[in-house]
Amino acid sequence: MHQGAWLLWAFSGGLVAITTTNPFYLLPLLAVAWVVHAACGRPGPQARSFRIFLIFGALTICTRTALVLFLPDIQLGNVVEAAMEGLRLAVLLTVFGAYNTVSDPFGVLRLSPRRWHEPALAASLALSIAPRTIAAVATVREAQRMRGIEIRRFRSLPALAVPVLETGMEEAVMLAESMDARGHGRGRRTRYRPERWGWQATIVSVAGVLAVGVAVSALFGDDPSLGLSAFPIVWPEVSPVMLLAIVTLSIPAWLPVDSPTRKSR
Amino acid sequence: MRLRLRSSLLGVALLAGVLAPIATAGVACAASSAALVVSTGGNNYTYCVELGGSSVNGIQLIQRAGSQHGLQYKLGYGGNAVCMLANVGASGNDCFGEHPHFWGYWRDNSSGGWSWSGTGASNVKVGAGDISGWSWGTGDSGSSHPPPPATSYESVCGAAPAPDRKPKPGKPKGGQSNDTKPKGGAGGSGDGGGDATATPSAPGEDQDRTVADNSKGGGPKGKKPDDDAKGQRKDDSGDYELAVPTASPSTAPGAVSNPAGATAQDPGPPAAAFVALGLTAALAALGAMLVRRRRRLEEG
Repeated sequence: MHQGAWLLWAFSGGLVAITTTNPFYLLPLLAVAWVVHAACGRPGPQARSFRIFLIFGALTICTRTALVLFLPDIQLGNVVEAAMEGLRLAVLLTVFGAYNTVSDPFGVLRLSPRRWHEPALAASLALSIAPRTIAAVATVREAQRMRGIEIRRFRSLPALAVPVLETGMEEAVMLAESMDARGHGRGRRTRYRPERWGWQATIVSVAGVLAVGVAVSALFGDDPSLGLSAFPIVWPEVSPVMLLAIVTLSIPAWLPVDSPTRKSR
Repeated sequence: MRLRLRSSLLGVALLAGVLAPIATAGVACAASSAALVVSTGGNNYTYCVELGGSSVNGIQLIQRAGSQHGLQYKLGYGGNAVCMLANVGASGNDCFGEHPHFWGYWRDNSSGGWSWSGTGASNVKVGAGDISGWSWGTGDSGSSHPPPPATSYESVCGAAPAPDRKPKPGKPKGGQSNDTKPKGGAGGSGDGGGDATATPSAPGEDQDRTVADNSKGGGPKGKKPDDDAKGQRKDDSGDYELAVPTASPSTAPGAVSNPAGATAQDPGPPAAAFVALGLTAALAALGAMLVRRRRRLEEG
């Protein structure tokens, strides 16, 4: 599927996640991210980025909840509210993790428009830094293992960090050179094997826009089900429309795969 | 990697285990109480709130009135603002959604009147014998906002503040008076608590005494100056019977001037929540199936 559609999917998922602290919206969204990762995840070293983002998400929940300890008086409501805010961040991270496993980091770079070359390049580099780093870590580790370097948990950190940073630098320089060589930023550029925007991409984009529309209209319509009333703690309302919008985001998992980039692999 | 995932999950569980008791640890020691007046404009409700030996802030006083007497409330802005009291106020998440109407916070001054609280209720310390008042109305200052009706501590709690009294079986403290005129079925509920809100005068001590409870109390016979509600006793007890099962069982329910009925505060999760959880489970199972199938394909 077209990288732009994936970008839109991730954007929609993240936007829906940050509008709400209702666990009955966040948990289905988490499951949606998982299913999309499971169905559309690309094989390769960046496939593990989902799990890494999931772990980071769990750490986020812990950290956010632990911050409650700094409050002058701790009530159950504070703890629940903090945990739900942590869950919101965790879901956001998980959606991003799923995006990293389904998208092609270098394909994203190719998307950067000609006109706003520099900011777009920076944005796409930032978007793809996590999967590229994770892939670099996997490569370095494999190389170390092949050379018989023992990998201990924390001792090996410097031995790991240096080549990973070096790889990152090298990649960035290489990318800049290659883009320059292709006339990027000079207004004239031809695309080598441009990606096809298929009907799947259209469907996914429509679903994403719909979900964002529902979430944003709920946000501006002051829908009480988005928030959590923690003082006192009451079960939040759940709006079926919002739930449907969230489930709609799982649509990439149901579509048949026949994207050209996928077939070529 | 799987090991690390498991240990991080273990960390979450441990943290939750540590935090839960901290969060729920209640303060349960010698009793002392403070008076709380809620004036919705049409109705006034008074609550004698046990503080449990410690001083609380103005928000916690409302929460205690909620758990002890079933006062319905809703807080916002991280629990620092009052959205709704006694079913009056903003129902959404925006506590000032009904602006210019809002809940103004008043405190008793030394001369027996009300003074506008210059600080938020969460930064105000409420101790034994204090009176806090909330009134619904417009006006951003003490000169323009309507104050609650003049109230004395004794008229709400019956006796002068008496900290560290031994618990006595006999009369639960927390006589609760409702010093408004009958308003004719305030709030939505026609029976039970609704009637209680409309009783013209103090249920007072006598009626409380009909329930043997072991919270701390005043004198054994409980004859109080404002105890002029003998005639109401029968009705009040009836109301009391109706309202008791819904009040929090762990605290001595004072009497029950309970706006809009002391219905159970938590009706349980809505049906759609189960749908949401079911969807979550179904999607998760589907994802696991896909992963397993892919792994089998890769291996085979």
